[in-house]
Amino acid sequence: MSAHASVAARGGARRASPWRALHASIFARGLGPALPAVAYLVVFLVVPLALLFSFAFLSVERGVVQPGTFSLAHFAEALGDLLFWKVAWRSFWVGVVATLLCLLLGYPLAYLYTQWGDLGRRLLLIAVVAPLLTSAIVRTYAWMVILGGRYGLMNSLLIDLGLITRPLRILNTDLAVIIGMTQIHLPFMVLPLIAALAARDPDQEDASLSLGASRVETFWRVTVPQSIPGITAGCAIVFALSYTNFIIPQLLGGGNYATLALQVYEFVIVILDWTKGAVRASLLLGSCFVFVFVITWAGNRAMAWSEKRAS
Amino acid sequence: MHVEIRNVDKTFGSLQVLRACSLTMSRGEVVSLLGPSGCGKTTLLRCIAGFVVPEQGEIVIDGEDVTLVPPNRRRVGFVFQSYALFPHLTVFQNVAYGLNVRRRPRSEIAARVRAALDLVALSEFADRYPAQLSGGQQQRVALARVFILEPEILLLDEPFNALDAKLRGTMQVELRKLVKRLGMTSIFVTHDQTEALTLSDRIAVMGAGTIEQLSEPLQVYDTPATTYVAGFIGSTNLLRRRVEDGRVELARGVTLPAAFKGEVSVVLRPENLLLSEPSAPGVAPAWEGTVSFVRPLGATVEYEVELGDHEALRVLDLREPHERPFAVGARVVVTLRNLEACVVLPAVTGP
Repeated sequence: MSAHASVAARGGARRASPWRALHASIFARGLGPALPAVAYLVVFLVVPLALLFSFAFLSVERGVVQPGTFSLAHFAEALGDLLFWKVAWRSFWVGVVATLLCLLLGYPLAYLYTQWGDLGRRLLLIAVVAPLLTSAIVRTYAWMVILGGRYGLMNSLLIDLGLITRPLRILNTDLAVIIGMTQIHLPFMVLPLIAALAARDPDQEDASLSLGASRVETFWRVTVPQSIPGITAGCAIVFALSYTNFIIPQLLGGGNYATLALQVYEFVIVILDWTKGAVRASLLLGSCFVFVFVITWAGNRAMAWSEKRAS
Repeated sequence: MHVEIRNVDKTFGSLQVLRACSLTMSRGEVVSLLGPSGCGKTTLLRCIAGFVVPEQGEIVIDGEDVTLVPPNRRRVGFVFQSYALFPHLTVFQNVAYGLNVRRRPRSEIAARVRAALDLVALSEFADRYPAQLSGGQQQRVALARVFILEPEILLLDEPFNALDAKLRGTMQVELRKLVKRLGMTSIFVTHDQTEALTLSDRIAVMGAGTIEQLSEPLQVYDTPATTYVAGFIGSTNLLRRRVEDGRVELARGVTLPAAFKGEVSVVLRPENLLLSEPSAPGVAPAWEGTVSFVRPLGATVEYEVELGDHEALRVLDLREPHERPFAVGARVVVTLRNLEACVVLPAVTGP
């Protein structure tokens, strides 16, 4: 206790300055190599985001910030607007459905990956990653060709096969947006799942079998709980991408389709109301952070056992 | 006849891991599969558990052919080398796993888990996770998780490998007592001959996918069936000789009857040999030679004696207190203690 007190007393004279702490963390703790990336992100991400956020409180006219117009009214206006909530709800549920579909489709794929031999694994990985090599816009346009109109690939095929008589209306609906999002974001679900599932110990599944569990039970009781980190990571990434995606609802949802991201675009680029755009962008981004935080928090809670170590 | 393995073959890709393996065990017997790594012993164990399905042959438990029965429908307990505990479940939940799967009532599960944890002296650790336990404790959880289901057959894959030498010794004795008390037919895989000799009623010595010999521990040592077994168990001198007129001449004037013709190997255990000075009285010498290496082990001294003709013998001498061993380069006489203890086996041609 006395030693502690004397250290505190001397600390008054030799208090480490914040600069000294920064200096120490950069050079002594080896953070130096991260500096270029940090600097880049500060200039090109943090500052623009801060600017955007600040616009949400100010009035901007013809690209010029009007001084002395700080107000929370813009947020209040957006939050009181029923249309805003409708649009936000659509962004949310479309994101949730796309995330769940990705999980449903991606999990078996990732599971197969871990069961297959070398060649199968390589082919599967190529199939999963290859779509990432083309632009999302190109792939979204491809979906327009497939889903669109009477002469779209899908409708003409189904009609030719005699399965339907009148063309299905899929393009420009929620379904088209969900189909597009699911396909385009699937790799971001599969890759973390593969990482999680490939790390598992096959002996544990054999152990479960020999303890009397069926294959299905073994899957639910042993395999799935241990792949939660992959599920969490995949869901967080896919949800964040789907919830904030702009190009897929723009192209597959049609002209009257609105999501939060589309509204931001409308306000900033079309209507040129930067304040309203900034308000919606801030709300979109902020709520996205909250949802991702909730997903990872739930995942961490479910994985609480992994924190326990021999004491 | 409780467990019977008949002519089991298994191939992985182009590698034949098991060829015509056969083994018969009676109820309550403890058999170890002993062999070097890659001899197929773990694969054979996995065949019995049902994790691996052999291409040929049958596995019969209690008169029922279970070769194609999935592992979850065999009453077989398997203890893994890595223990394969479920890291996301507590010790209690790990041990309860088999009963949970069988949908037993909660109260029964609690009581039986407590009993199983008492059996392995882990009651205070019920709420810990496997990562919070030491290696020895983890192994006991793995055992409790299997014991709670009262399997008729217990399979153990190198169960003591991950333990330090001292703990290994105690656990071997404990396990042997426990398994005998519970009357479980047990098979365990090991590459450690001391472990096999400690634990088993019978030892199956495996080499290159086949069981070379299945006998009681000391029988494997005293009367090895093949030169491979003789070389694998304990330390051995193998002398190459030719059979002439039904007898093998070991050394000048020392002959043994042989049941084989042609080339043979004679198994001479190092402790069956005695070293003495050339001038010592009353010694009927078999060989004369020069000490080329001395390994003082405390209670015993191991020598390597060169006989000339590129032949060398390993000799294990009991040492009197304060007795000085022979030095390297000393001329010595090697005598046989017991001629009958020498085993004559057909020599393996080739390397």
